[in-house]
Amino acid sequence: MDDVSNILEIRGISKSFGETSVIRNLSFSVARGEFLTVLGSSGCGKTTLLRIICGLEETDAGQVILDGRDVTAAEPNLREVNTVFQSYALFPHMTVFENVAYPLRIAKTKISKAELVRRVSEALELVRMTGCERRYPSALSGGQKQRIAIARAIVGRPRVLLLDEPLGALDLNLRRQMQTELKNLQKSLGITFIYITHDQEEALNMSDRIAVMKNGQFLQIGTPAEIYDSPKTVYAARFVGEANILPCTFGKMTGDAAEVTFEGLPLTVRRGCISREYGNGESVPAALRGEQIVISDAGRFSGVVSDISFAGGVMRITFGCGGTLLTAVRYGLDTSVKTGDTIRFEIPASAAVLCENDEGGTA
Amino acid sequence: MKKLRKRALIYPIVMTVLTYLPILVVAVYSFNESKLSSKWDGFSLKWYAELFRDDSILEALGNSVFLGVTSSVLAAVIATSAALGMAKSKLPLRHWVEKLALLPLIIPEIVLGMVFLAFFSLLGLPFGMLTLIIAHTAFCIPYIYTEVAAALENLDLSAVEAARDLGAGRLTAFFTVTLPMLSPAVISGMFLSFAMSFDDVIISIFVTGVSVNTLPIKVYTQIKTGLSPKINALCTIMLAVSVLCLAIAGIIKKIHRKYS
Repeated sequence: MDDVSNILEIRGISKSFGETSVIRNLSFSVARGEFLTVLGSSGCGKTTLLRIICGLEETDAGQVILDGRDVTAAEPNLREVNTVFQSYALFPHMTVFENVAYPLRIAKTKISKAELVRRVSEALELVRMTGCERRYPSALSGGQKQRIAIARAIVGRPRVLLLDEPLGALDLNLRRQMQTELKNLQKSLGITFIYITHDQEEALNMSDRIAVMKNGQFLQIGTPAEIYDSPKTVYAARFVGEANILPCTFGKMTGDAAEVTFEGLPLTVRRGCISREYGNGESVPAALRGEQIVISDAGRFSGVVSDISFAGGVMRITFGCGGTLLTAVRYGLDTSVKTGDTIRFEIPASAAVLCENDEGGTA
Repeated sequence: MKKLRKRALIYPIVMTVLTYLPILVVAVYSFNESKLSSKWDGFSLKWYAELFRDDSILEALGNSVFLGVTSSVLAAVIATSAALGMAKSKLPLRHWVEKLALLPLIIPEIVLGMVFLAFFSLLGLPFGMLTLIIAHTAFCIPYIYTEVAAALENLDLSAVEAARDLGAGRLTAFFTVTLPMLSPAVISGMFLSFAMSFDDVIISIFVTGVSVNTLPIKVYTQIKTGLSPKINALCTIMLAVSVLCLAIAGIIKKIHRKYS
């Protein structure tokens, strides 16, 4: 990939704090105008990655290339990257207007007072906070602070906007609403967003691409559909969209498909992202989405229902099959299945997908 | 229950009487027409008028204000940078260094005075305003340091990082974000320092030269020649200044707490 199409390139960065290695030889690139989400649980190194990109943390190795320029050693103020911090980090001694005007006031290129007012108003309008100019941050709610932090970060028109779990402190309804707003904002501004979250729903909703991060490395990077459809590893499969993991025995590869056995019965699964070959009889995990399990008397497999939950129009039927607990998802209520019932089910050909075992032990 | 409450009231009353009655007497008699403190001849401001006609007292007042302001400002610069440096440092001995810095608060003033005297003589510094400023700055530092260090502990430093991220250089971020966020603590510490400097007599006596008098030294030397209503008036003014400084320091802190 060349520098012109990519706004940001990360080349082999690593970071340790004392003995703890937080980021390990990480490389990726972000296209101009892209919405990339870095998805990972707490402690996976995603915030450190963000701080290295914006310059608040130094990398031990590797390079950060912003729009073709090596900014690895540049001070944070000399990078055209702005951050929306998890804690908002508004200036408590300044009004909303002064907060948003701050990047313009301290900028090297001075603009006229009228232009300043115009740009601040424009930014406030984008986050729908017009009319709050004279208030202090202490008088704002969490959601409002959030909007001001975003307005302050976009007013200077950065090349890349970094967002560190910006919706983490908001309640569910507001979070859903802000997800849509952020996505629309990103589209209308055309700024590249790098968004950090541990919430897979946020990631699936908003992103052009998702990077699943674990132990300072990206397990997989791809579109939400790619990751949902063909998770590369067991962790990615479980973290994005809560997949069932089937412990299978490998048979043979045939092009994009593979023949395996599950519970002693033959099953055709997709090859997915697996590049290496398996030996005959080797155990291999396959990921299967709950909505792809077909509960039917004609099914070859059987299981005993251990739990049923119904929430938000979605019914989850958890059943034990051999030594494995599986969860089938059905839309709408089906009262014919009860806890303790023995059910028959089928796994359609090519529904499940092979993935790497990265969770230790046998899958 | 009621009896207990009554008994509990006795202690504060005794304490208040012990402390404030003498102050009240001095303050009231500073407005006495008569020269004798044994009898009340009616209300008058004549001692205050006389005070402000006395050039030596006005000069001492000027010295005291200059000394208080200068040493508070110097102490503020030193203490603030020290507190900031300390907050960032990860030295293992950090807490000991910090305790050491606060020691002047509990060292007897007479010892401090002696020490300064010996030290300045050793250096061969001429005793006068310079030595006063050095000594006062030194004993004012802990007052500001404690204020700023406490404020720093509650300060969200991510705002400073945000400033850097939004394009501010180190200095700009310091002057536009760090310092304004700390300013209530710095300013209240400075008022506290000013009050301490303004009424200090022990250390000042040790380190001042023959030519430079501060207000407290003036009071001290005047008392040797006998009490006068003029001194009552002077003390009342000094008391008012000190109380005002402490009150301002308290109000600044309170307002700040409300808005953060």
